[in-house]
Amino acid sequence: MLTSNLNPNLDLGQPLAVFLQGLNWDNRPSVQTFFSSEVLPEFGASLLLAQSVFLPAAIGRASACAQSCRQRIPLPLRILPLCLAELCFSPAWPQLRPCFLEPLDLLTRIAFFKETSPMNDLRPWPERIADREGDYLTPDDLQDLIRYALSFPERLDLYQVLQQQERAWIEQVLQQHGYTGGAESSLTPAQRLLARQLAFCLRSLGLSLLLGDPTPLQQGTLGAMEQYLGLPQALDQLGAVVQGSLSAEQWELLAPYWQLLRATGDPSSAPLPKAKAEGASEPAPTLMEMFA
Amino acid sequence: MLMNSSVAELMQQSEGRYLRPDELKTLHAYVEGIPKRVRLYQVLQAKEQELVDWVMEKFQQMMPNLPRQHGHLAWERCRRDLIMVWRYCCLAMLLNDEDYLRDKLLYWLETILKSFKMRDQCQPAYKLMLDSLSAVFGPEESESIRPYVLLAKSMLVN
Repeated sequence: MLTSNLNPNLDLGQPLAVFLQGLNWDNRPSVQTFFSSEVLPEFGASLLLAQSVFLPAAIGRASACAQSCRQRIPLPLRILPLCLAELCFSPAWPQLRPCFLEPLDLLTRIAFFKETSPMNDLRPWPERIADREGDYLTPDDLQDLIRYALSFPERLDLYQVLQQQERAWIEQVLQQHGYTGGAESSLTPAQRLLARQLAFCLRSLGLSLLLGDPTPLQQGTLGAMEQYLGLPQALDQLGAVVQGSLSAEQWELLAPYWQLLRATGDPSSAPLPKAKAEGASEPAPTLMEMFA
Repeated sequence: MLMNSSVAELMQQSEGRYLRPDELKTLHAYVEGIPKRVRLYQVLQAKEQELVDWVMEKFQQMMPNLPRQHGHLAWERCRRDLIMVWRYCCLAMLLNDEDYLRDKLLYWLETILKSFKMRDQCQPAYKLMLDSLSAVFGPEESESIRPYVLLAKSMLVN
């Protein structure tokens, strides 16, 4: 594992609490962050909705979406179709209408993107851009991009959960490795190193989730030290703890990144790149053969 | 996520730690702009042909002797270069990243134009491209792409 950015001054002989402080516990924002999931991004109201906001079909579609995605949509958005159904017949509607365009637009976008295929954000963007250099990004890429932007509030919420729960989760895993809790001085150096590795993994996981990019997860390797510390088993235990602490929707969002983390950390579960796997039995061509 | 150079730098710098509130705020602002930029990108893409036709028509009238100096493929090459510059400008706009345009295209193309002593002859084409923005696009699309076309013009032919 790469640990270059972890606090180099960590003293393995210090108590757990101090050690955990060294892992940037003080870096986390308070629960009341500067923006919450209830604050909507400033998406421009789409022409589609600007033209169709009076139509019952638009309200019906928004209502169906709010029902089907209710776990992921903040309450004010979920009750929006109900409000609209009442208000659009009100004499005050022309004055109220502009206030509803943006949230209804957002709801429609969510409906559209939730109904289409699941997001493929595990392909690194630098690779996608390099593939399309000199051309335009594909419609699928653009769709992934909008889906990512729409899911950002959920990602941010989950990122903050990871940040807030990191210590508790790692302690739970350490308890399965002999740490009895309370007596911090009883933590062995190996357990401290394991805690450090687990924290690094969780932080990479959080960053990948937040950025919608697998790159931070691909920087880890599973070396002899990690094997000796029992990191693969500890990651399985951590996965179970994390899954148990999150809602089904949160885990669904996190799961692809978790799988990637496990695949990166455990060579036995990592699929070989296709080209290498297929060509493994054939000798590599010489330069002369390649250019013949 | 589509990363520009500052987000990529943020990712590198934050290895092994959580993002600070100010960094999260920067990231949030960047992500917030993505849907709008995607919409603009799609409009710019859809009207590429119209824009290049507009530029080429006027450029051919201004420089009728270009094929005599640079061969019968001169117009074709000119169109190809304009399309290439336009597409890189669009992607740079989507990324919100002038560095991408500079690093991936302009430093290279600048050298080519200099070495072939083409800067003076190409100058009207990029001026026409700038003029075409308000002719082909609405104000929002035009203003979104203008800084990138200006950058391309200033590096390639000024």
